[in-house]
Amino acid sequence: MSYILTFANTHAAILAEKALLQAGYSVGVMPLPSGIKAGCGIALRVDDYIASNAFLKDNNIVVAAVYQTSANAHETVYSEVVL
Amino acid sequence: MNNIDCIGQVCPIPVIRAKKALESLGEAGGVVTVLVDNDIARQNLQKMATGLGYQSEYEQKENGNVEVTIVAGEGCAVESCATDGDSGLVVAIGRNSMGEGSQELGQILIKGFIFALRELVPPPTHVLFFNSGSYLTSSDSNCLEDLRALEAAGTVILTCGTCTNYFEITEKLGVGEITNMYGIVTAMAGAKRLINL
Repeated sequence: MSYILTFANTHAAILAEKALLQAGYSVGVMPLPSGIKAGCGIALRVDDYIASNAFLKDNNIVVAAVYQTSANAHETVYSEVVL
Repeated sequence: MNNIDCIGQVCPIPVIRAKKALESLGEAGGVVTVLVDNDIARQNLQKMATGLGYQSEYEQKENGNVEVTIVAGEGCAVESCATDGDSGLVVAIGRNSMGEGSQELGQILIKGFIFALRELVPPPTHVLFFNSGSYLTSSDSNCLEDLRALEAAGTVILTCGTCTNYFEITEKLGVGEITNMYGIVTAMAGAKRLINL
């Protein structure tokens, strides 16, 4: 899963995980990586951020930001995706 | 050669009897064969052998019985098997939630915790699951990808068989192996550091 979704608060993250799981999306949980600022310390990992984001929007769950993850030799790099 | 017939005996008895037989061989070593009638006992015998640094193999016999052969020699003891990259860290997870208060919050926190374990270098030697923690290794757990990554990094993932039996999820194990209380105690006792969640 190479994209992560961040949320303004923990309730939104919990709701989003439940909704995505119930709808059959591939989703994982991770602590918010250091270096990324968001209101909530939990981030969700997804494969398809476009479909996941659209699905959450339809369900009135607001995603704060989307990041693409990539790895260089030393660390994982998170680059914000412009929605 | 020591032949032990454990037909009709459930774990941990075959493991205990095999261990006693292996101990009686002393430093010279030798071969112990154990006849069991279920695959869980076979798995536990082989895990015990591997844990002691001994080689083992098994042969399927008639009537579904399995003969496990353990070769004890001047093999390495558990300690000397440890590699330089061995963290000696054991993580014991006894529930499917992290912390007290909100169950809903705890259930998402523990998923984040398991993901964060992947970041540890070197990785934990063992992650143990028991009581409701057993749900986290079940096939419908949302932690399987992270646990499989840990396993690929060399972490042994063990789930309490008594617990999966109690929750009726033994057949749904999605990662790692089933163990018994001896396996759990052995892993804990061999830990240099233990995180008990």
